[in-house]
Amino acid sequence: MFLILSQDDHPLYERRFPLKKTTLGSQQLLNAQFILHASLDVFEEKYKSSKELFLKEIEQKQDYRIFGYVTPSNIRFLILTDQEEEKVKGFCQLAHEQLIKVLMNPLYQLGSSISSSNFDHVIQQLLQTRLNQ
Amino acid sequence: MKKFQFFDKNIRQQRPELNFCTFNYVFAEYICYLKRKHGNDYNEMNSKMEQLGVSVGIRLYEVVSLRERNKRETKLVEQLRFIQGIFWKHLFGRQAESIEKLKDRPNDYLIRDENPLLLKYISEEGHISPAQFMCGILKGVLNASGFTCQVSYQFKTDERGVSYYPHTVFILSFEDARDL
Repeated sequence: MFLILSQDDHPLYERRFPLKKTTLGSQQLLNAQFILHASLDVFEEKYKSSKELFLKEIEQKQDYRIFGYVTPSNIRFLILTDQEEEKVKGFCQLAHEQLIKVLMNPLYQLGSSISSSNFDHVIQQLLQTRLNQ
Repeated sequence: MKKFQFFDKNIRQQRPELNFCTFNYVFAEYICYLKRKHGNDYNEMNSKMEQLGVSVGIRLYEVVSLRERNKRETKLVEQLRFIQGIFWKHLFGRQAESIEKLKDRPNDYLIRDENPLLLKYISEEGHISPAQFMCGILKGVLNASGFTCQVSYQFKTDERGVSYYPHTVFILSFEDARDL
């Protein structure tokens, strides 16, 4: 699952995608959102002290890993996946560029949820090509 | 594929140079619009200009960070240096003169700009000024990067009252002492 959060912890965008290597039960897939939000504390500690954008792995459970990425204006990306770090890093950088294009729209209210269907399509494409989903 | 055209453009490499007169024309129209709409309500005009500055500041901060440098700042002084150097240069073509700190105001920083580009064709008038727009830009950048502050401006004057307009000083008042 891919989640974008604003500076005040409002969710801006969510996208679920199936994990490739492992098959979690459907109950656990539904909990993906819960798991990601629960890892926010650890995420916060890490990004407050680091200058980097890509924060690598925040948490690791049995089958999947959680990665974090933060933009200069404190918009956070969270990804729950079982792919390798390099692929996730590439995906995050491209998703960041697309996010900036959404932000540059003067009619987009900063801090509100992203409802652009084009953005949705582009992220879906990126997920399929970069993360092989 | 027409749908995706906007998202296909490369945001990293574009470095467009804008004609200053073009921008000034739009900006002057905006100030006239504010004057028509709000008349003599200076507070309202100032707050509208600041609001515009805030939204411009946040967006530009993201774009400039992407193009110039791919890192964030966690310390305030480093962030101020970034604003004074790279960010100012990207916006106005030159760096701001200095960052200063006064002894008797522990929560404030000053950014000094001796010849702000936006004030080039605008004369000094008592109550309102496009410098409020620049205050908004600074406020947007700092608030977005996690340092909450209020920004105000002052034009430099001598003890004798001699004005050095458009020499402007931006006063950044930070609320949270932990940021300093």
